[in-house]
Amino acid sequence: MKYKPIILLFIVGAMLSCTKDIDLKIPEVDRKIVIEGKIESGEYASVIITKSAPYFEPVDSSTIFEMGVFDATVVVSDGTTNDTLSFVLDFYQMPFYKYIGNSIIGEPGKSYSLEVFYDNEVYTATTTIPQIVELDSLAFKEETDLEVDSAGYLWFYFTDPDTLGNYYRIFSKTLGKDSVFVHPMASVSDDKNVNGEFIEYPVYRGWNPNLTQKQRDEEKEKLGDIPRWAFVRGETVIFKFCSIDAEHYEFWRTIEVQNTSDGNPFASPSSVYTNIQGGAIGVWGGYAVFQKIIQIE
Amino acid sequence: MNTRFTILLVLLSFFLEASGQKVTLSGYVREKSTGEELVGASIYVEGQGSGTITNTYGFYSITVPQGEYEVLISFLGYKTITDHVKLSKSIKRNYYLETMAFTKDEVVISAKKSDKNVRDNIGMVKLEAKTIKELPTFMGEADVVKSIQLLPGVQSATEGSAGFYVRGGGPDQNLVILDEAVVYNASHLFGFFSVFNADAVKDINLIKGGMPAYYGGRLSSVLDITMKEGNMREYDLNGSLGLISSHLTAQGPIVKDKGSFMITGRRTYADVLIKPFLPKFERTKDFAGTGYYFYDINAKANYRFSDKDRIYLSAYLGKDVFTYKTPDDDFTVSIPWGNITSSFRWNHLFGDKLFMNFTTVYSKYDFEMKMEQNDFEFGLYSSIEDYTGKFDFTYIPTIRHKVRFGVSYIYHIFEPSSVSGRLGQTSYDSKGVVRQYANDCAIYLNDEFDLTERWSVNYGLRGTYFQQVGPFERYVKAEFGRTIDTVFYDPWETVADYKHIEPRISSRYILNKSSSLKASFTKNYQYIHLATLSSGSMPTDLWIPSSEKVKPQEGYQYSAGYFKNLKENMYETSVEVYYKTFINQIEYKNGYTPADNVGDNSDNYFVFGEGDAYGIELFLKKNKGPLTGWIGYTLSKTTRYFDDIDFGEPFPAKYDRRHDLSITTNYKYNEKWTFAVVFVYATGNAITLPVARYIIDGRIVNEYGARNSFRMPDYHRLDLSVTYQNHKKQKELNKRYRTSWNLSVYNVYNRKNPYFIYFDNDGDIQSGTLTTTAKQVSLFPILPSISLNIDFE
Repeated sequence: MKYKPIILLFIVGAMLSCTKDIDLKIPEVDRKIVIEGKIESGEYASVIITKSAPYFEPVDSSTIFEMGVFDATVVVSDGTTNDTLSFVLDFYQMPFYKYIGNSIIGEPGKSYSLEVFYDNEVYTATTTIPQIVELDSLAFKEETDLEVDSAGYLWFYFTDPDTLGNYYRIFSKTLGKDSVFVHPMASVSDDKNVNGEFIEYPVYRGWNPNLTQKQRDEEKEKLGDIPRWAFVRGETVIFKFCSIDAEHYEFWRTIEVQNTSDGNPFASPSSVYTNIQGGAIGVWGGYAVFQKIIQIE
Repeated sequence: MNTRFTILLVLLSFFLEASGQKVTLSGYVREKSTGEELVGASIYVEGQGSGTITNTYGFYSITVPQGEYEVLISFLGYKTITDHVKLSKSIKRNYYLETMAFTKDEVVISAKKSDKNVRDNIGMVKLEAKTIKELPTFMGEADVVKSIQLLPGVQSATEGSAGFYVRGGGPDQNLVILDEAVVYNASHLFGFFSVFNADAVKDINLIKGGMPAYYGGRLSSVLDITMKEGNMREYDLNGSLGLISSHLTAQGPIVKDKGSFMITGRRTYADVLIKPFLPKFERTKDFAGTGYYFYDINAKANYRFSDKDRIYLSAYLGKDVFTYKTPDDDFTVSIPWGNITSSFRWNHLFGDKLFMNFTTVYSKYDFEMKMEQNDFEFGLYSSIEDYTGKFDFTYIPTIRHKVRFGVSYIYHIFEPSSVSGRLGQTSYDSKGVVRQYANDCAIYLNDEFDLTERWSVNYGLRGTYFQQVGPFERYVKAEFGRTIDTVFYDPWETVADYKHIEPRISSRYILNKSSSLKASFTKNYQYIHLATLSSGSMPTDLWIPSSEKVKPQEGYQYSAGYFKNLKENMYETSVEVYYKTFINQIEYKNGYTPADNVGDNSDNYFVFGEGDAYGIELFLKKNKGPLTGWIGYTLSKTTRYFDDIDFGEPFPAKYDRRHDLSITTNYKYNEKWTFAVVFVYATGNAITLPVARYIIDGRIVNEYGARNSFRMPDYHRLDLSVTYQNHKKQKELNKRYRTSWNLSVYNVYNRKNPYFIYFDNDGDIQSGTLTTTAKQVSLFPILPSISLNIDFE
């Protein structure tokens, strides 16, 4: 649930206001390198590299190619060994390629550095995979207000460790429905107010960001009365509960703040944090993953 | 330190100035028909080349050598009285001034026009409630703050906003006081109306530069509003019916010529009128569950025990309530907010030269938001509450000195943003945790000194002490906002404290009968801060005290001006320049959301910086004749410097405005018809826009350009109003009431002024079809409104 003051533009606004298209002259800025890299415990590193685009440039088959970075050299290091990542195609995600590791597998409690060489520049970052925090349990709760009686949220339960400074990010994958792990709009949280406590929290099924609008509409139609965000009896869901470090959290938090403040005239524009050095933007983040499967009966 | 003592000694020496064979003329200046005191009426002693004006309580005192004098008592809009006074000993005399009714003959008779423009202190502007009521209205509501915005150096925030900015200062840097009580949020309806009901207002004084030492606590300006006292002689009932609200005012004597009362109320009823239509239109049907109204009540009573003692009780209560419900009731929002102020004052006269005012004030502003949906409940509460005690003395030892000194104490309780929530079985409530308490003390001494007949100096010192006290919990932060420790403070334990001396000086030199030069320097400290996310004055804005993290705001202002009246004071003109610097300004950190306050100190989310502002203000006013009005133009620049915003690069403040022009005219065609026209033009607001975008997680992320580096299109608007009254005929017909009609048209040529800009995305990146267009939302098209005013005898 988000605080949306825009609804406060109530009666007068709704009845009298008018909207028109305007031309804004926005200065040309250089395209920046955008890095979206991660290393999960038990997995190889995976890095997507793209370029930013001028704000009003339409995204179509020709311009999207301009945004691609296909020939970078990407090196991940755990301090003792280096792993040069390979360029691979991946049609389950947007864009359809990534750089993937070959030798280093993420381990909780370890730090990993990233180096990206591209166009005579080098971009660097460091992240940590924290210790895994385990879930206590996972449960399905029906949402009684809905017209269909078999849909609802998943609730997860865990105890936050005693020390302050735990950050979490959550994902789910409904088998047969989601091709990738998806996350709710607010996917990260910290333990500022709940340090050391037993915590219960609901999660709904997020969007797969790689679907086109048409695919989304089709999915909605197929589901009929069942809300798209709901988990439904009979489904099997993999829930991924990740611990992340402070900078990694700050990146996703600012992304999510921007999502909610965009287009809100009463909010000030919010920039996204980056932990990449050297002039690129984006994130290099480690995940300590705890997975649990639930069969909703 | 030594210079400070020297200044004090010099000040004190004036008290001891040998008075010789001097006598005092003192008393009150009142309105003849109602018996109400007149504030700022001028008492001029011919031959002494000097005079004085009545204080906020209508009191004056003049000390001159024994002799016979012609004393002129005048006040704008009233007939001047000339009194021949033989002063062999000190005497008391009260004067009663009569309103100047409009007839062409009388205008000629009262040839003596005010030269206040030339004589007054720099930076002070006075508006009468009458002037405000004659301006075109927005939806039938005459508005005090919107009238103030038409003066040079004063700007509105956004379309229709009742928030105001003075000479590049923020909205929190204006001291807004209603009968000595601080009003923290002076707007209704998300800023579209001010809380001051024009029916209840007697006087409006704005100080935008050269702030005297008896005002303090804010950097930029003082808006001092006095409520009507109520008719001392007869009962009066007055009402008005408007498009969106109705007003009713009752006043009259408690004991004739000794005490009176005034009570006025208004409530909007747009919610009641509009509700049935909402579900009928596609555009508005989502708002069918919406309700919105505001009301306010002003009440005042006073009693005069004698010419030596008088008490006043004033109160204001205003509330806005917004509600929203989805048709099936499963999501509800309710947002009430409002101000409450009450003040008790006691005037006492010691002899005929020392006037005392003792004030106690209670003032509170609070904002609440409650949301409910199924398993989820969310509440947000913020408030500021003040308990004030104040002694203020006016001592008039000779005709050349007017000394004001006093002490004040405020106990503040801040509750910046407490949150309560429930999610399933888990609930949370931060109430109490986030509260902050503070002692706010001031002592001041100010002297208005006429050095010669031409040259006067208004100078003073204000000493301030601010202390944040416990109970308080400080969350100690490491990088990325990680809390690493908590420090607890006991009740009344000092958390942080500050003390400062604020020198103030302004001077006026009269060049000749119709022109003068003025200059001022002031240094101010401000110990409370308004944290705001939006560009206007929103009810969600938070007040927080200075703390160990947030240093007091510090401001310097230098101003100078040339003032000239033309055609025997029929025209007033002035040119003023100012330069200001602001230190310890706050802004929210990038990426801040109101939820960050949960279980944290609100001051952990600020970045700090400085600012400066300079500008030139041109003013031309016509005071007399059927056509009156003014033209104000301001050319200015306001800049901010924050280390944590754009790496310390200067950026324009969001209320930086290069050009600001307002033209206000009022034309009395005859006794029945009055026309008014207002035109405003302003440079577009500075905003931050995205310059590039990129893809993360399959979604679009924006990269923003430099802070406030874009301008919205310019703002301009023309308003008209026509007032019709036929009192003469109603009198002839022996009617028991008088009516007047006002037709106002807001935004006559239907200018689509920008309110905000947003971006509309069409298509999606996944299918390679995304295009983006910029859209501008305009709030108010041409808006006619009509209101009826009824005055019962």
